[in-house]
Amino acid sequence: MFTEELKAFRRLGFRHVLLQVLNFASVIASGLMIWKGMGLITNTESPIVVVLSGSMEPAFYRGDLLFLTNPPNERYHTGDITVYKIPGADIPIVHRVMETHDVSSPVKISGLDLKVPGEQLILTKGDNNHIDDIDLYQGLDWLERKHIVGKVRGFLPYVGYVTIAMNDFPQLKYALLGLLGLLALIQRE
Amino acid sequence: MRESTVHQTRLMFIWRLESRVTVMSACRALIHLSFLDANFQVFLRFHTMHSFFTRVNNVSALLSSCTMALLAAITIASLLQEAIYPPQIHGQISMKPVKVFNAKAPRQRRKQEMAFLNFNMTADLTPLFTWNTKQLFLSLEAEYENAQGVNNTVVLWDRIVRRPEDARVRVIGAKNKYAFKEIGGKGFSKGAATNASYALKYNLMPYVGVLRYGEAARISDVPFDVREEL
Amino acid sequence: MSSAVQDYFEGKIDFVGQQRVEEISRIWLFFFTALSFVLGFALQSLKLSFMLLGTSTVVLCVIVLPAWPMYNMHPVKWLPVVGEQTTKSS
Repeated sequence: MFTEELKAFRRLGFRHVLLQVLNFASVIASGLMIWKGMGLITNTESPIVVVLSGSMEPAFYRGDLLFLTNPPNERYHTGDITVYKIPGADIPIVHRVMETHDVSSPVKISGLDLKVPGEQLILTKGDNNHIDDIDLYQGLDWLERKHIVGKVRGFLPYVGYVTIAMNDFPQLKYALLGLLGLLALIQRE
Repeated sequence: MRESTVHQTRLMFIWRLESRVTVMSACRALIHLSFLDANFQVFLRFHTMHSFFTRVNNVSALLSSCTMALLAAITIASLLQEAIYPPQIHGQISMKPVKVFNAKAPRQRRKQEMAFLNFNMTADLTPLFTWNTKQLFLSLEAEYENAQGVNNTVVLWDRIVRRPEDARVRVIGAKNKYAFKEIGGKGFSKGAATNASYALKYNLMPYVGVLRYGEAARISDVPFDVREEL
Repeated sequence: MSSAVQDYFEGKIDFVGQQRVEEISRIWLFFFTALSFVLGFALQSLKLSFMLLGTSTVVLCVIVLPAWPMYNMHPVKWLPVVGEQTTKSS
């Protein structure tokens, strides 16, 4: 299977192989640059996420691609769809804001630290859930700004399903590899 | 002559691979590098003539660029459509004074002051349904400030509208779906919030593109009517 | 058998055919992308847009992917092998 590749390499010569490697690397690097650049502009650690659960149906289904922004000076409103990550939970959750409480003078709310102006307490809920998210907050009563990764701005359906399919059905990966192997056998120089 | 032609086509192929990656790279970083791997496989063995798989690869690369262009065109068209013809939404809310009782909230052990609404609402949201409207998320929210200086916005009722036939909203004598209580369990009487504004907001979710928000109706200064314990 | 299968899947075409295939697929897809957008917008149907793009791609695959004889009308002409002739004459 690899003899043909080796033959191809030998025919192309060392310089050509290096050129191909360089091309390949530049493709990957440009992808990474765009990803990080987008993260810088939108101020979130991951500007694009894939929906993994059905708790926002019928707005978002599994596999939909979401574009996030997180402008530093903007407060969140009710009705916004946010992506949040609670410390201790390993995957971020995308749910809609149900309640916002904006602090405008220092205030002590029972069960919380002293809150200073500019801070915001947020409660979320999934459109497809009957109750709010307090049970998901791992002991917290409210979400705060620091827990929120970003706000959903744009949306592309189904595109992320490949990622999910690869995660859910590891066989698929092997099937794909098998298919590639088959192609290699069928093709010839 | 043959060598030069082959060389040229190979360069074109690299160019196409790269252009496709730049268009999709963001998605691609996410969707694994498996596609790229597949491309690279074909790319490696591509040094003779165009085979079936080269053509499959070319067509799929071109198709993905065209699909992205179509999606972008749809997104921009929807935004322009809305900018040129802003949808005129007029609705009305009427409401009895909001009663406040001492009651037990769901999943809470202690009793605390909770507010109960009884409202009527009409709005015609059909102008919001265009070719790129997947659904509307409607929510009735209360806005009020309490004596502690906290600005509160609380969603009390919501509805998802998925068909234009259902976009004429007519709600009579409805009650709040979600518990309406003061932050920290203090109660409206102690929190000294005297009245609140209520607004019907919508969130337009497209099939493709940018989410939009707006307000369909508003009623201001509805007093809290604090009652004795039941 | 294996060589027939390989030939079928390899589906080689000549260089002129190659260029033709690229031109056809580029013009075809650009045209149908534009058409599906215009029609979808005019008739306010997103479904129509994507159905049109999908069907046009399927038709394009039928036109372009198999090694039709029209893509093999300009085979590469090699010069006669020189060394063989000399061995014959000697």
